Amino acid sequence: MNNTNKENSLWAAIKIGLLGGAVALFISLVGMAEVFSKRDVVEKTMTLGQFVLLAISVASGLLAARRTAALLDKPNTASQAAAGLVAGFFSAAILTLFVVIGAKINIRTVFLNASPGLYSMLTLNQGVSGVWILPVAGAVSGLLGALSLSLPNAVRRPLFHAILFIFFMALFSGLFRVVMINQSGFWEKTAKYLFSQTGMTRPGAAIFFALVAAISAFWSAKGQAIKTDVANLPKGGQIGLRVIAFAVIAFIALGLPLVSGAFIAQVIVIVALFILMGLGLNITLGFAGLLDLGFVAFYAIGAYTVGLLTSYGQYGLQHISFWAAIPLAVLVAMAAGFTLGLPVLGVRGDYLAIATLGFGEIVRLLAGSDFLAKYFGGPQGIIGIQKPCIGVLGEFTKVDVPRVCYSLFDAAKPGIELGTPQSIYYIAVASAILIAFVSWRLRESRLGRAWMAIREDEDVAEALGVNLIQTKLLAYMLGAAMAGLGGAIFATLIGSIFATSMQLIVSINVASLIIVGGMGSIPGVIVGAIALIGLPELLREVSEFRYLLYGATLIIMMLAKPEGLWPSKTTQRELHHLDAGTSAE
Amino acid sequence: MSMLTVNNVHTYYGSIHALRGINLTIEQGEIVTLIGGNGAGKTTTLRTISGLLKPAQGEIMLEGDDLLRYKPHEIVYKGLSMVPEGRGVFARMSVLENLEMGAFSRNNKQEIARNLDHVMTLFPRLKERRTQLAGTLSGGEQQMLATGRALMAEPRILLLDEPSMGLAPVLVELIFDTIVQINKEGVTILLVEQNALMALSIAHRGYVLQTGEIVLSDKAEKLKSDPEVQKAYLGIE
Ligand SMILES: Nc1ncnc2c1ncn2[C@@H]1O[C@H](COP(=O)(O)OP(=O)(O)O)[C@@H](O)[C@H]1O
Ligand SMILES: [Mg+2]
Repeated sequence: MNNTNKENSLWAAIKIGLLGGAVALFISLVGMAEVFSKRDVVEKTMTLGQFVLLAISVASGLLAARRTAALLDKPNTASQAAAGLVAGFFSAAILTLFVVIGAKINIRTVFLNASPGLYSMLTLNQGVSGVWILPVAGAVSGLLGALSLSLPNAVRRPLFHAILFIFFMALFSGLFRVVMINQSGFWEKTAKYLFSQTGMTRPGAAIFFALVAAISAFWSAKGQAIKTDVANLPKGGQIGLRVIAFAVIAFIALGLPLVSGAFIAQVIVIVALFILMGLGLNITLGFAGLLDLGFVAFYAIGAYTVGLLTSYGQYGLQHISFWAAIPLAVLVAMAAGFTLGLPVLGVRGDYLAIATLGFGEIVRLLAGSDFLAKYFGGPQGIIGIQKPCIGVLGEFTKVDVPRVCYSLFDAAKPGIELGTPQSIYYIAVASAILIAFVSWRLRESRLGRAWMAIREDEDVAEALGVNLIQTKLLAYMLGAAMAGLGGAIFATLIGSIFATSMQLIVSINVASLIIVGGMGSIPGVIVGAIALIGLPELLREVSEFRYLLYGATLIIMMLAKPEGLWPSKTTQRELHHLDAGTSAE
Repeated sequence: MSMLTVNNVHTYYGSIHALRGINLTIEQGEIVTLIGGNGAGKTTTLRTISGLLKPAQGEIMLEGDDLLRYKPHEIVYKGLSMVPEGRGVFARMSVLENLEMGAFSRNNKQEIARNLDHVMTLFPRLKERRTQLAGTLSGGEQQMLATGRALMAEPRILLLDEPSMGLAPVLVELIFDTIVQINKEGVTILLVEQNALMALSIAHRGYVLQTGEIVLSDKAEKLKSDPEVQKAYLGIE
């Protein structure tokens, strides 16, 4: 009995190792390993690519050790370590084989990314003679992974946190470095000490590692006590804490564009726009359960409305200000939502997905068509969208000349033109906060409850008195309004609109971010937008593999956490007066 | 005036003639049961009365008011509620949210609160589980919830579609006791059942439905002792 278990555990370790090896080979062949190896985790010590490959071996070792502990009657450190060693070895063995074969046969005709760069990266620039490094490194990593299991929690957790932090810090080091160097003086010096051109310096990595490990150890020892202390604070103290937290967040939010530079501000604007679209689709799909794969159409309609109403280019119909155009764009998007909603009212499930998909494509094709080019600019799109102005806009004089923004108080002085991403940031973030609030109020409203009821069971909802036509149309219209607002701001940010940017993939992105965040959850939309839109935008390395990572994230999410990163709380939050009405328990 | 009159109602699913001229009369304060085998048309009858299906022909009157004039979502405002077959609870909403949705047609907050209290005393189990998601309730609890939800609309007539389906005998008894109690509080009841014995033991009158037609109607005790009914529905030879 024990013997077969031993065999089983050996076989399990090999299987886990081979699986890890397959993952490693995959990310090497799609080019991810090589791209990642251009960024350093620790300067002159370890590249991000090496880090990821080693992490796979460590994880294989850890999983194999765990599996052994589960399979054997009397698991001991030695057998676990052996399992880790075997798994780690096999996780690297596949890559080793790949390098050996690649040296003999040119497989680049099939696998574009099997480049000399990849081979030299895998062998630490030693060539085929250095191929032994791989299995050795793999086995050692697997062993370390397995041994980490026998560490006490108080040591293992801080270690894990510190390593995870180092990984993210390495990814974002470029951004931090630029922002800090822009501040010059002390910050510039600190940045140069901590970060290199391509990653972290050795002292930088050491400092971050020690800091995070210390904080994590402190928190796991004292965190619970601090939490209870805070909970036991008198009411005034709690409110005070909240005010302080709020003030800190507001200070950071307001000050961020001043130090971040245009690039980060623009990324945040794009995240905010996806939050707007996400909140919109969250109403139609998350609350009311109506799948809409043509959601980008409303975004396009909002964008084109603002474009046509404010552009000083040749397609500008009117030359009104951004502020007047925004509500109109929202109204037009709502009307479009109504137009989409009406014919698909009786359509359910899969058919609804197809019908809405068609709607999105029709809008995009019409907007970009030669047929309507004299209105919408066809493939050239609409350019010269007027920037928002805080002040008084001068007269429109002629085509391709922007209107001048004058001060509100002195017609001779220039006003504040919100032209840069840093200034659009404020509009986008304020809109996202406002719409999140509106969404939250809607969910708690009678209408919100009716949406949820039709999501669960249309017939029953109708029998309880829900007017299906009205409720569904409102879901389409309000969802469309939010997407339209996003489109309107986007058009203004970029200053131009092209029908080619209104692809189906945008709708899919929005649906994915809702699913990853947690269907029907408002904080989930925000988390989902940051994770799926913000991170890939910020990280060049990641954005190349954006859709690969999307797919992987979605599959992992569906398996491990199908309710999303930040699911909605489906407990009693409703009608507290109803609750109070029932006798106290 | 009768509470509910169904007069020569014909309902089709496409070309399938599911109801072939149904006639029913229910007086204020009665429990009337509609029994019949699988596929006889019981659910179709209830869905037609509550407006979810449009009859091709016939008349449905609630206290002299022509129900066919109203849209499906307006019927509940006339004092008629239905507990659908298979319960149809809102699975991803909490018990309390389900009950709250039941009062969607009402807007007096005090009345709603009082009514919620009443439902919670009728079904103490729901009170214990008020924050739980309805989809995670047991079958019996879901039946209680669906019934409570229908009561939240304060109906004058309640239509129940096979409340005993899939429940253990003890639970069936509990549900049927509650139906009697609801009736005692003044709610007229139309109870659709395959479990004819149980239904006839609490009903005042009964109708027997067979392939879309009423074939028998009488006092409940009489139906219980009718040899045809005994053979076909009560399993007595
Ligand atoms: N949605 C439907 N489409 C077509 N036929 C249906 C549908 N629902 C029910 N039927 C048919 O109508 C008849 C009556 O069904 P139903 O009212 O559900 O019976 P019961 O509730 O008595 O079991 C059956 O023959 C059934 O097959
Ligand atoms: Mg039925």
